[in-house]
Amino acid sequence: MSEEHEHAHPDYWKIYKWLVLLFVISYLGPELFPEQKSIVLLTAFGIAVVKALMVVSEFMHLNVEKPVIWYLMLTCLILLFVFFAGVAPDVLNKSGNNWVADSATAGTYVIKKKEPEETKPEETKPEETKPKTADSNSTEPAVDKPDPKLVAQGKALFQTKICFTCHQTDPAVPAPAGLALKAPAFTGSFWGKEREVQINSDPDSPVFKDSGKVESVKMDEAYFMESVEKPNAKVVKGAIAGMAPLPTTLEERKALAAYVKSLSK
Amino acid sequence: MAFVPPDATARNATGIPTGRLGMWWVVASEVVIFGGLIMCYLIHRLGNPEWGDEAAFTIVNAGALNTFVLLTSSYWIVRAHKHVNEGELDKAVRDMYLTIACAGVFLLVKTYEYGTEIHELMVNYAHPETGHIIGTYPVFWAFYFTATGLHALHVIGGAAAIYIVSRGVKKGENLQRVEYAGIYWHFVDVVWVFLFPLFYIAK
Repeated sequence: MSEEHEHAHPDYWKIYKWLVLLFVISYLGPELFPEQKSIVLLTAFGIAVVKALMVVSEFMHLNVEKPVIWYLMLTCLILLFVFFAGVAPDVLNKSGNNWVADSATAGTYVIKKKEPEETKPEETKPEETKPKTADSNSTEPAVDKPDPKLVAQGKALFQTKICFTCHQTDPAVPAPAGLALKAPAFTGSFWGKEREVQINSDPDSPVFKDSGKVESVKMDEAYFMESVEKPNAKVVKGAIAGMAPLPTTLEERKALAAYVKSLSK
Repeated sequence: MAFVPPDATARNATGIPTGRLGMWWVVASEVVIFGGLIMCYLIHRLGNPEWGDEAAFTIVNAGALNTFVLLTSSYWIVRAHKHVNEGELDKAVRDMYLTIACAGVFLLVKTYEYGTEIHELMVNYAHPETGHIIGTYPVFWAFYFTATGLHALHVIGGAAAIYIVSRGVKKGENLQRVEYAGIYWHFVDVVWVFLFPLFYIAK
């Protein structure tokens, strides 16, 4: 063996005992004081850093290694922090110039452009929009007869906007993702019925924060369309606020409402 | 010209044996691989405090046991290095086998964890206290399986490397490799030291 050993071996057993002791503390700290965030973070992460330094310096012999290795490791670590500092502001912000990460609560980042969506479709497709329903939702009695074209359009949207993954429409076919979130099903007789909803403390926020208030609302076109646009403004009691606000136009919401209404027995 | 295998024990300009310097380069690149993954997770975790509800489903005791197992394995491999330097090759080989055994225990515990977690994810298990349903924030689980899975692959690779080195040690060949394998193995241990609080403790 041509390699000479420029270091004496320390007492590894002693270092190991210290490491195990630190490990026990880092495990017991969060177990004993789960409510105290500072203790949890200090014991879990502070001790992790100490343990890592001990392993690196004593077991990997970085304490007796040439300084060039230190520079190598520190460069890598500094690069990681540069990466963190550069990326974190963009990811942690929920909105910025012309974008809102409004499905962040669902764990997925769908970036949606802020656009004046109410105006465009009505200019482009005036022939499909009934003039009497164009501007208000107080025309309930007038739209009692379902428009088959609108219902068909809504049925297609129900698929493409992936509503069907959570909202059950066929009594015989459960919606698997909806079971987990307890999403309200569109089966049986539901349209026009009263339902209890939890009110978001900030109705304009895409994130649901329970205000503790429970209200009774009627399942009608106005409530339905509001819930498509702002799913977390009013959340059906017992359901989990997990619906992502998928971008829809006013016309699309009307079509969806017509379709869902047609499902009610 | 005949092929001359690179000499791992010769010294280069840094004054460090080539083999060891090469291993440090491996570790440096690994720092960036795992560090990048951990930084990405940290950024998203800070932005999504609700992921803590998902972390409540990871099995803390299993993770703690694995932390202990890897720490112990680190002790064995550094002992192997010491015994090689002292010329006690039999003891070194025994210590290396103990290291590999620890890797086996680690992987068994990990297999149990994965099985339990995947099962719970499939049946939408609800937490008894909070009522939170596992899998509501799937990105947490994407990070969890990527980070721990990549780490488990390193454990498998490390154990295989240590076995190959131990065969050389038995014949008294390439004894310097014990230290190099050890450096790699300690790094795998250090990564777990950080993964454990990140995915198990912080709720």
